[in-house]
Amino acid sequence: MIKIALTGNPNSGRTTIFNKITGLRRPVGNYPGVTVRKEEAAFVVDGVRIKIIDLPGTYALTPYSEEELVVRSFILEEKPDVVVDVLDASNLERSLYLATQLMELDVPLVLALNMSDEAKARGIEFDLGMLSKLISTPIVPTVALRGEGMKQLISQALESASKSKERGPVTVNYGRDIEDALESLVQLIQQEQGDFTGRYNSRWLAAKLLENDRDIIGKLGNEKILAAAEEAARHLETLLGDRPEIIMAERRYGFISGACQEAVRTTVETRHNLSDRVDDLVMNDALGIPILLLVMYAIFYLTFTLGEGPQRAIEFLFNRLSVFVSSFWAAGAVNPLKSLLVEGIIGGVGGVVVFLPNILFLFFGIALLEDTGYTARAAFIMDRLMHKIGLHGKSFIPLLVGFGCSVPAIIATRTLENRRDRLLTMFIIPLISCGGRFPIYALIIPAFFSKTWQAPVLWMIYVIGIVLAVITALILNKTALKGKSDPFVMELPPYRIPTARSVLFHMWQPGWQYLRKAGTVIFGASIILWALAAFPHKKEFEQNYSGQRLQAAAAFNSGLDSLGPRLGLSAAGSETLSAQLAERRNHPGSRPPADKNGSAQQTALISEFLSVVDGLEKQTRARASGTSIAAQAQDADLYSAASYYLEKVKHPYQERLAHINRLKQREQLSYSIAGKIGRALETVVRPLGFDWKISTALLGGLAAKELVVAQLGIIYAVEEGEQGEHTLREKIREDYSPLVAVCVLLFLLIGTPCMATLAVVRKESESWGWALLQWGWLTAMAYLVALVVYQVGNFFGLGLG
Amino acid sequence: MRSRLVSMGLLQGTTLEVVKNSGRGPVIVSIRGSRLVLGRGMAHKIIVDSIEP
Repeated sequence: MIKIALTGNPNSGRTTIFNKITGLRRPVGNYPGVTVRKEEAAFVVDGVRIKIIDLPGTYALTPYSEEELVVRSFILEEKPDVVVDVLDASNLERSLYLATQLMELDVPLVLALNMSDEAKARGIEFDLGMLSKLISTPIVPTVALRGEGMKQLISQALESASKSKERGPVTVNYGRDIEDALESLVQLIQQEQGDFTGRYNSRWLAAKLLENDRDIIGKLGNEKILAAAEEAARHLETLLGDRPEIIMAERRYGFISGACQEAVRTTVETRHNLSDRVDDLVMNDALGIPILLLVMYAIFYLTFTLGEGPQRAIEFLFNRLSVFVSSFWAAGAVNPLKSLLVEGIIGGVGGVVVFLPNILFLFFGIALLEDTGYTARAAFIMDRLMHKIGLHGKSFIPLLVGFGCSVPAIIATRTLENRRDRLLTMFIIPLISCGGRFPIYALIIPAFFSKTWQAPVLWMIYVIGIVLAVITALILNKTALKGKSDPFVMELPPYRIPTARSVLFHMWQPGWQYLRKAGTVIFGASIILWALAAFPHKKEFEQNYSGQRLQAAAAFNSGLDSLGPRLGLSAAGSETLSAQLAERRNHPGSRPPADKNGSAQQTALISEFLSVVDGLEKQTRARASGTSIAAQAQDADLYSAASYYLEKVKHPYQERLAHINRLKQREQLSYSIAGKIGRALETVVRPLGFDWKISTALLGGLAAKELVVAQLGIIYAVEEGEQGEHTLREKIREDYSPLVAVCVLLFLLIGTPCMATLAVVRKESESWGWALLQWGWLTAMAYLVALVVYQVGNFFGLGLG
Repeated sequence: MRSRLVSMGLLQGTTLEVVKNSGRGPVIVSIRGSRLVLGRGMAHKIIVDSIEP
């Protein structure tokens, strides 16, 4: 097994190379800091088993940032057989700086000169043979995006791995004074710490000691060596006029510049390229922030409008599916399995899957911003504002990722060197509305707001989250996290045209994760939530529902009996009509054969009446769906009798039955476990305008925000039972005022971060206290905001209709 | 912090070009072919001599 480690500067195309070589699709993006964890893959080339590890992008191997430590300790401890360092051809000198540090680590090294096409287009020419000789390291030119040079890179890596013993370490000459100090330290280390030198190159150890590397100093723990190193460093500082680590860095750059002067020629001098001209516009003082807001607004607008059509289609498919599954049982049958399938699983999973199109479009937009390089500009634009809350522009990138999902966003805070910055950024990330909360907005906003208001309301929700994040940061800045932010230094990548593959991948990957979540977590949770809502079965109901049903049926029948005289039918004819209508009630759509015993005239009258009834019903349905059918009743008497039947007899009966059913279901639901928990919580959330159904749905949100939608779907499907022709949106519109809807949106935006967020904050902050403080804080804030909005709105009578 | 700047290629004697400095907010400089964003506080600490282009 050959272990290959991939290193390189951020944004140098390391991950693209990893993807091309392994065929895996890891997220890549045009902004620094995409790979925050190391990723690995194994495969076989020419019978050799190869394991390749993609390490985080770094500029150097100092111990001052987490990523650099990760890379360094991986190379030192795991001892890969060869390191492939990816160079950005357009930024060769800076790329080579990392390479010089890798050389000192004394690992077999291969350099991949990536994006050489882009550099050539900018008028840079390389003499790779010369460069390779000057730095005594093999170089392979690659264009990772098009997969060029991958084969050569692998075979060069394998060759270097097998020849690792033949090659001495390549070193930068630091000048006589430093070299002397290094040499005496090396001797001392070899005398004192023989076992240590077996694992680490002693010249490298000596250099790190001179550089005052706290990680190595901590590991070495030999007073004699440390004292000698300190003494040497002090001596060098007085001698050279600056701290040794700075001088050594300068010498490394000197070594690189020398090599580049020989081997690289720049033919065209492009001072202000197109990238700069675009930057002049989007990073303009006055226009920068409006453009950023506009870009975000455009993404949300597209998410809603483009997502609508496919969303309807998916909704329709799930409806058909539940009708199909229901058809295995007799109409009206009460069966736990049917209820589980239709109400629990199809209702729960369907309610979540419906929002897949919106999720895809949202991530498509974010992917475009990332891949073009706009995200880094956004960090620049936001720097001044971020300073006001005690952070700097770099924190904006994790926050932006937070629009997709809080979990990768919290992991992305690793790019911040300062622990205080990290904790603060982590704390406010859940206030940035993530994709998981999106289905809730997509469900509720169109239910209560007209089309013109939907996008602005959605936009407002996001803005409110941002404003609260600012307030939270300000408070923390003054209390728990006093102190100064690290100075802001960030690379600005050139604009690149995103490749379709990358954008589609960024769109598809979260979409797929979302579907998988729907298929696993939400599937399981749907079953549990359904069971909570369906059990325990209530046997003794407070009211006699079957008695009420019989009463309603009796009223219906007496209504039927009054029809005969209206139409001038005989007693026998009247009986036949009642029987036929009753039959049609029990089995809608059935056409009982005409009574042979009745007179031909009476039979004709009855069938004519029935066809007028059918025509009228069809007309009502058509009117409801927007198309109009011309009235076709020729006979005024027949027409009035038919409409009397529909309006005074049939519809009241149906409504009465539905009402009785609803009451019964509601009683059952509030008797169930979910209902009991919801009711227990109701007293707490009552001041926010929430009833026990909303608080039951909020329970689902503790596990994952998407589950709120699933939970509502289940509660309402259970409540409506069989008659559920209405969509969920219509049902909640009937039950709540717009004010309550806004309060629900606010509560879910701000409060109860999901379990995955809680877990990742604990892991990244290494503190349960911090994670729980965050959870409690956000939930308390959610409660407070919803309380104020509801009470004030109620007082002024806003949004109650 | 200094070692961070150094590792990004900004060290004593480096020639840099100020690409954008609007008087407020961060500054963009061009060094060794790449663009760096420097926070204002950071940029203040860098002493430059101007050289003719």
